[in-house]
Amino acid sequence: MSVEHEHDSAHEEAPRGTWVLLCLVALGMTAAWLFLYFGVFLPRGQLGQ
Amino acid sequence: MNDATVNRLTLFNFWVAFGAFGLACFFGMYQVLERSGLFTFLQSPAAYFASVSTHGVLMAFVLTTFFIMGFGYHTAARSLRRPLWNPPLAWAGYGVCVVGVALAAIPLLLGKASVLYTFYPPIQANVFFYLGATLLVVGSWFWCVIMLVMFAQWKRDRPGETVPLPMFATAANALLWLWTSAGVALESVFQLLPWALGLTDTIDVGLARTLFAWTLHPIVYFWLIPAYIALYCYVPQAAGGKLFSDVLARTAFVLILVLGLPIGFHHLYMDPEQGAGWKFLHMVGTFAVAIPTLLTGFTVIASLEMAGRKRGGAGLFGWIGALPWKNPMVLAAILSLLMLVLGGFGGIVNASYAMNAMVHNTAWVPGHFHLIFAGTVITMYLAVAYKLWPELCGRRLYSVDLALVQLWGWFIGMVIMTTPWHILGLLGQPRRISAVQYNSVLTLSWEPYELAMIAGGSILLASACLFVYLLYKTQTAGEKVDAREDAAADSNHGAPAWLNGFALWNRLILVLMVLSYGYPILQFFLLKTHSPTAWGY
Repeated sequence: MSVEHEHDSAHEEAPRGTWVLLCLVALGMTAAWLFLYFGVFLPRGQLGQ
Repeated sequence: MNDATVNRLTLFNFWVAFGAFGLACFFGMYQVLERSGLFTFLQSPAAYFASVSTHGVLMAFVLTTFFIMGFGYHTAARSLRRPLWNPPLAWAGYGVCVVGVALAAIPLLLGKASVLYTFYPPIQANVFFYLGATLLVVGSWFWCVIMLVMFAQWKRDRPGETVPLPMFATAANALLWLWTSAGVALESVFQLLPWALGLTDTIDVGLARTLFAWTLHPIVYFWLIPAYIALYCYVPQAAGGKLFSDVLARTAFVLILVLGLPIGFHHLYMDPEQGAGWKFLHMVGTFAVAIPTLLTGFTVIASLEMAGRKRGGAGLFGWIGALPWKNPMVLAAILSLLMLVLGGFGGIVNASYAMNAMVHNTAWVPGHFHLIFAGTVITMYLAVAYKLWPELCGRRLYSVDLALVQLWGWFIGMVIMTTPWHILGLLGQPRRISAVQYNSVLTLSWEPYELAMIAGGSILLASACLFVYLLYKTQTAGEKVDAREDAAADSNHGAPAWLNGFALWNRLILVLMVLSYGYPILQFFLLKTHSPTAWGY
């Protein structure tokens, strides 16, 4: 297999790892946001209380 | 001859940029020491605010503007493979910017412009500071004109062909900067300068903050786009592969240009001069900018995955280990993207209208800002310097190993410094204060975090010094080579017309800007707030 052909076949493959990695990042961010909102922000209550 | 001119112009711009960077890191180190309150002999609010203002201006305005101009000239000449248009104009712009920096530096260093890099009124600086800042912006407009003329000339000479991706993105950035800088230019010319000159006694603070917000957020994209150019155009090649999708890359740049401009009010969530509805509208736009960020993350990581697989990486994540981590450009990209994830999360919290109240004006904000700017953006600027310096000087990089140490140091130092900053913000520590010790139980609990920040700042300073040393040694003692490389200019893949020009997008930006800033600015004149008009009339 030529280098060029090898290159092209690698490039045509779906970037599965990237999808999984980004899904993990998105899940982590969502979980962290929910923790901050429900676990830190809301328990502090309203201003002036 | 023009090649030599471009190299010299790029090098002159880069040395101002990285000189400012090195100097600013010393100021930063002083600030983290002074602010901790652990070294009483350093304590001086006057010196602190002069330092933090100088640090901010050097980093956010001087480093960025000169780097972007130098990188732009290089990118235009290399990717379009044509001489730089009007070099005298480019040198004139450089001169105007240098004079502006010199004018602003005098009051900054004398403590007469301790107004931070946002220079919000009613804190007033010496008039030379505003004049200098204005000249820096005006000088950068010369660069914008040259980039857009070269873009238009290339398209005129090659009808139907696709503009190379690096130049497409550079032209997008020039256009974005013209739109972006208009806000602060209006504020400076019509409000700050007449006020500082004593021609008007009062200033409409609400209008000034609104005009600055116009500039304040998209300026981040002005800084970020060159980093994205490196991620899209240099990193895939450096990793041994090629860009995953040219169309996705162009789409991301167009979306940044269009969506990044009309969203500045998330900096004004706690301000009274704008209504909640307008702020909500800008919040929606702010979240929309996550789309091009995600597109960039996907395209760059997919490019890395393809390169890693080509190098023998197997399985779901085996390609990560197969990447050439000892290539400074690849290492910088990985570290930069990591910091983009961390900083991006902080940005989502900042942009959340309700939750912003929890972190607004706390230490969380500079923590976030440093992760995105000093982390994601600057790391890629450093990598670009390592790539271009050999070409600009005709000498091999002095030490690749030291460059890798420097990049790791910058990443580790940034994480160590910004993590406590975020925690301190959640603990309620305000930002923009010169001392954090009030002898209370609360502030005593901040001390371990302050110590960690000092450790992080020390690593960052050492890393910055190493970077400047490496550039200096490369230029003066590097092995002589013919190191000319093309700036990844092979992306003429027949992109659709809407991704090969900006006429449509420019009109759309006009509509969005009128919709998002029209009434919010007009209201100051309709409501006849205090002295909103130009020069007091």
